[in-house]
Formats: sequence, structure tokens, C-alpha cells
Amino acid sequence: MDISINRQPNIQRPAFDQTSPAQPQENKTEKPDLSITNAPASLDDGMDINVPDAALTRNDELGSLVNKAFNIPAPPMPKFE
Amino acid sequence: MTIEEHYKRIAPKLTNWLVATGSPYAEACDLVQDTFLKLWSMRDDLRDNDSAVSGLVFTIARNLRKNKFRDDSKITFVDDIKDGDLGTTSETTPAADIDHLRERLNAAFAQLPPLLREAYTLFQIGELSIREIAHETGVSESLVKVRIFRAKEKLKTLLQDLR
Repeated sequence: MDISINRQPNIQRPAFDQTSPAQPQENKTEKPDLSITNAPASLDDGMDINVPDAALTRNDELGSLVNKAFNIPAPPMPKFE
Repeated sequence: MTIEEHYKRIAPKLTNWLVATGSPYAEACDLVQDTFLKLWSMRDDLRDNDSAVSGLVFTIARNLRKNKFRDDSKITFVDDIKDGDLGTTSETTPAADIDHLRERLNAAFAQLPPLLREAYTLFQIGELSIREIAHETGVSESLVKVRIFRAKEKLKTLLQDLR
């Protein structure tokens, strides 16, 4: 018996089928850009965003200005007794 | 570390932080002293826990200031320290220039969103660590870093004529 007539032609699936729920995870190659310049507008959205350590120095030009302005003496120590 | 040693280390930072975040100097002085008297009353709970003291001091001061806002009419400030006495230890810059700079910075801080202002001033003026700020404000360390970074960017824009 010739069964070749029942064979289905090869179906070429698209490489990236966005409609398929069975889309393999490995096809999702794009990762979100988490650099500080692309941080989301909401501050409290819980995303982990990378801030370079160098941006957090206290000794830059702005920090020097702030330290110069806020160099106010503390009040006398109260008596602890 | 004794309470006196904590005072010498933290009181100047706390005084400056209170002034930078809106308290007049006389009020800041009262708050600093009241904060340390409160800390003194808690001394038995603080033994061998020096690392927690800085953050705790700022929390006490913030709460005292909030309570003061609530009952402002009941507070009588000491008159022996006036805002005009607000000095600096700088020997190279005239006091008027320092006063002007402080006014500009206070105005710039006031334009920051409150969460950014809190994170930046605790970091730069209070000299709290990222971890301490995260603990005191109840957010993640990474969010504290973002807030500080954004505050700095905004301040640089607001103060670019001073650079």
C-alpha cells in the first residue's frame, strides 16, 4: 500500500511566533536596559536599577559646595545625668 | 562608645541636616539636644550596638520634628541661640558668601521631590551609609542609590551657575 499520499508537507514555523503560547523562553534574547538613564519614571516600582558607584561619591564638586555651606557648629552638649 | 563620644561624632552632622531640610538653626539646636537626651534615656538598650546609633539618632530627630510641627504652639525655644549666630568653621570664605550659598542650596533642596531630598541629604550631610538610609527609610539599597543619583542630577542642573 502506498502511504505517501497521507504525508503532510513540511510546515515551516516562523522563527519567532509571537502568537504561540508555547514560545520557548530562549527566543527572548532582548533584556531590559536597566541603566540609570533608562530608569522608569516611577521611583517606587521596585526595579533593580544599576547606579555606578562613581556616581555616589560625596567628594565631587556638588558635594564640596554642600559641605562648604553646611558646616554649622553643633549646639553645646547637654548634661547627661 | 559613650554618649558623649556619639554626640561629638553625630551632633554636627545632625545639626546641618536639620538646617538643610528646613529647620531654623535655633530649632535645629533644640532638636539635636532633645534627640540626644532621648538617646541617653535609651542607653541601656544601646550597649554594644554602636553601629545602629547614627541611624537611630536621625530617626529620633525626624520624629521629634514631626511632633513639633503637630504642636508648634506649645514649644518655646531657648533664646540663647539665634539664627544670626549661625556660624561656620570656614576660614577661607567670607560668612556672607557662605550664607548666600546656603540659601541657594536650601532653595534647591526645596525643589527636589521629598524622597530624593531625604535620601541625598541623609547621604551627603548626615553622612549615613546607603545601608543605613535604606534601613531608616524602609526601601532597598538600590532604590536609595537611584534617589541619590537623581537628586544629584537635579541639583547640578539647579545650581549650574555656581560651578
